[in-house]
Amino acid sequence: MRVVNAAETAPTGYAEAVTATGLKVRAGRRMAVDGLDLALGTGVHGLLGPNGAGKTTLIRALATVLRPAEGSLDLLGLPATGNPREVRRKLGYLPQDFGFYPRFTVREFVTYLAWLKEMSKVDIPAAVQRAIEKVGLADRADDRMKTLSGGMLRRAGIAQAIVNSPELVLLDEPTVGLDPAQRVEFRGLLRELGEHSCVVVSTHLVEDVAAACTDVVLIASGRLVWQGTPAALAAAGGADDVGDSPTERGYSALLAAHTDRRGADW
Amino acid sequence: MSARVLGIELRRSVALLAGAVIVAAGLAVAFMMFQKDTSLGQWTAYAGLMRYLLEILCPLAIGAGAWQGRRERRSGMTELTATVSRPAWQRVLPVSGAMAITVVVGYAVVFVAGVVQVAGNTTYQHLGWLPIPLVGALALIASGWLGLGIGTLLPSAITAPVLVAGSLMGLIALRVLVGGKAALLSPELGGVLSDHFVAPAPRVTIAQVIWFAALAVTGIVLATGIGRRRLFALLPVALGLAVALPLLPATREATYVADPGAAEPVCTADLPRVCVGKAHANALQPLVGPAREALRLLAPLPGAPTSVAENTRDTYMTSQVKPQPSDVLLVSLPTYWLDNRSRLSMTEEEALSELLLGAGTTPCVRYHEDPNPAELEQYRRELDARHLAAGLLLGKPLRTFGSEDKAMWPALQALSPEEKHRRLGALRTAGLSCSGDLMEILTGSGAR
Repeated sequence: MRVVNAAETAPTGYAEAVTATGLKVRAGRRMAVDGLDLALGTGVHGLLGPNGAGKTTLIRALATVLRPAEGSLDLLGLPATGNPREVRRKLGYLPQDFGFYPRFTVREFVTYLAWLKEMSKVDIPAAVQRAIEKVGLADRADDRMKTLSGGMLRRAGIAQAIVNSPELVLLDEPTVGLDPAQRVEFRGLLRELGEHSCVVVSTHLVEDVAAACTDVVLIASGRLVWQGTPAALAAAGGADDVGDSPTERGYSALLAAHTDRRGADW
Repeated sequence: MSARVLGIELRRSVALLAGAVIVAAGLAVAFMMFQKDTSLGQWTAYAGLMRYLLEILCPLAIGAGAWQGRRERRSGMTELTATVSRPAWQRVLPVSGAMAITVVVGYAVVFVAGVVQVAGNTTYQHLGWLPIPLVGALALIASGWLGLGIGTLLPSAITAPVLVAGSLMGLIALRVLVGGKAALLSPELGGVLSDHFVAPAPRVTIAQVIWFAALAVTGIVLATGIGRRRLFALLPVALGLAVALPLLPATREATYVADPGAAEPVCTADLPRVCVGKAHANALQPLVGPAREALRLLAPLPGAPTSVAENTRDTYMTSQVKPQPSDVLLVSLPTYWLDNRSRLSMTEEEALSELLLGAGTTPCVRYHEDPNPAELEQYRRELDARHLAAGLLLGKPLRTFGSEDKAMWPALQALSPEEKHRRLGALRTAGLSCSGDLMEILTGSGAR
């Protein structure tokens, strides 16, 4: 099986919202992202990989939480290691461990985050209402965060991530806690966001990627394994590969090939 | 800063609770301790009393700030807030602003609770006291922000209670154990403001403004700084100390200045004239009778006074007003002679006795808080002589006689009227200029 490099698979027309070259990022003492080359433009990019592949570390680096140890990382045309303020204004981020102020209402929480993102104060109320409606929390907008269920909290987290109409949206495990109907709605939201923004979704759920993403980024051991369309991912799998769906079989096939190749390299 | 976000912080942060705690604790302490305080009779004294309250309220503000400071960590929001574009110093504005608003409003509520009483009690209406609560409010803000900074730096559940207890003990220790100019680094101003004729020296106000502002900036730097940048928080503290300490006076006397408005004489229209300071105008009428009786009793003595005036320079008789003019009988009206409305709280007989002490002279021996045995003996001797002189003028022993006085009284009482007159005249002459031992003069062992 041929491992496709990023440059070949990046859909044409991408504005290269994310460009990583030889990117290395530490997670504690471990080099969790270890020489990654990646180019991402407008669209929805599903970030797949096994546990410990470096997905969250990569997302955190893209979110400017972690600084690259080596290599270069450009976000929205600007170096991530410089002044990240410009990038952060256009960033939407949902961390894996999403924290929130329990005493705030949903509206207050999203308003507060909009202010932290330096949105114009005249735009904030409408943008907050829009974001809350998009995640289906309009009827709970004035309820306190601590009264929400896990799935609702996740949706509130997505609302704060998208309130500033970000050009780069980073969602780490966004569908955790969502029920099937909510996941379907969320995929629609992702597709909508991806029309104008670069959306990076880290997930274990391959079917989410298949349904909502325009591009799949498969990483393992901190490196890019494969990048391509969901259709190409599905095509990569065979009948004997592990998985209930074509995309899952493609995923396991690509990972297995990567593991074999690494073994051969050794 | 967005008013909307400030509103959110006012509703949802610890700020509102902090304000409520300030109000509850402030009113509780004020109700329990100050209800009968004569400081409720004068604006400056009342403002000073409210500063005293800060010894309790500032630690509470520090605790509230510290509790607020750990919110990011407690809520797991540090990851998210690390990715927002607004600079850290701006991010801390709403929460610090909310904290400042609520603690100041809380303090104002406590302050206002006594305002009606003071306004109704005093005859000296003025605004010269305003800097006192304003500096107090700044001290509360500084406390809240310092707590916020420390709570951010050490986001543990025990930080707040430890800070409350530590700062409370620290402030008490600063006043009781350290003293001197360092004590003025605390928000409390010292009890001398209960003297109705003084105000804090402007240099004290300026120094405290600088110091508390430095503490406030330190809190903000701690709350916004990351890693080693937090070391910059030491700069404002060091700078504040370097500027404030030299400004603060070394002695307690220099901490205060006379308030000429409070001391402005208010006098009877008729003669013999009796005057009190404007702050004690309510005491004038009850004082007139004993004052004129004292003038009558002193009239036969050489250099007898012809009018009575309140001694507004030395209410607590801690320093001498010497040489004392012979034609004016100076009387001190310390707060323990007065009620809340600055009216005499003593009987006319007691007032007359006080007016005749030392045959109408002010004390010569200065009393201070920590006298040595020799000083104490000197003070006691003079006090005995002063009381005996008053008794001789009244023709009867005073109720305030001590055992020494009582022992000497029969012999003095048995003297001929001429001899009594001579000795009292000599004592008065000596008392006016503080020359000689009053007891020796009175008992005849050193009479001239």
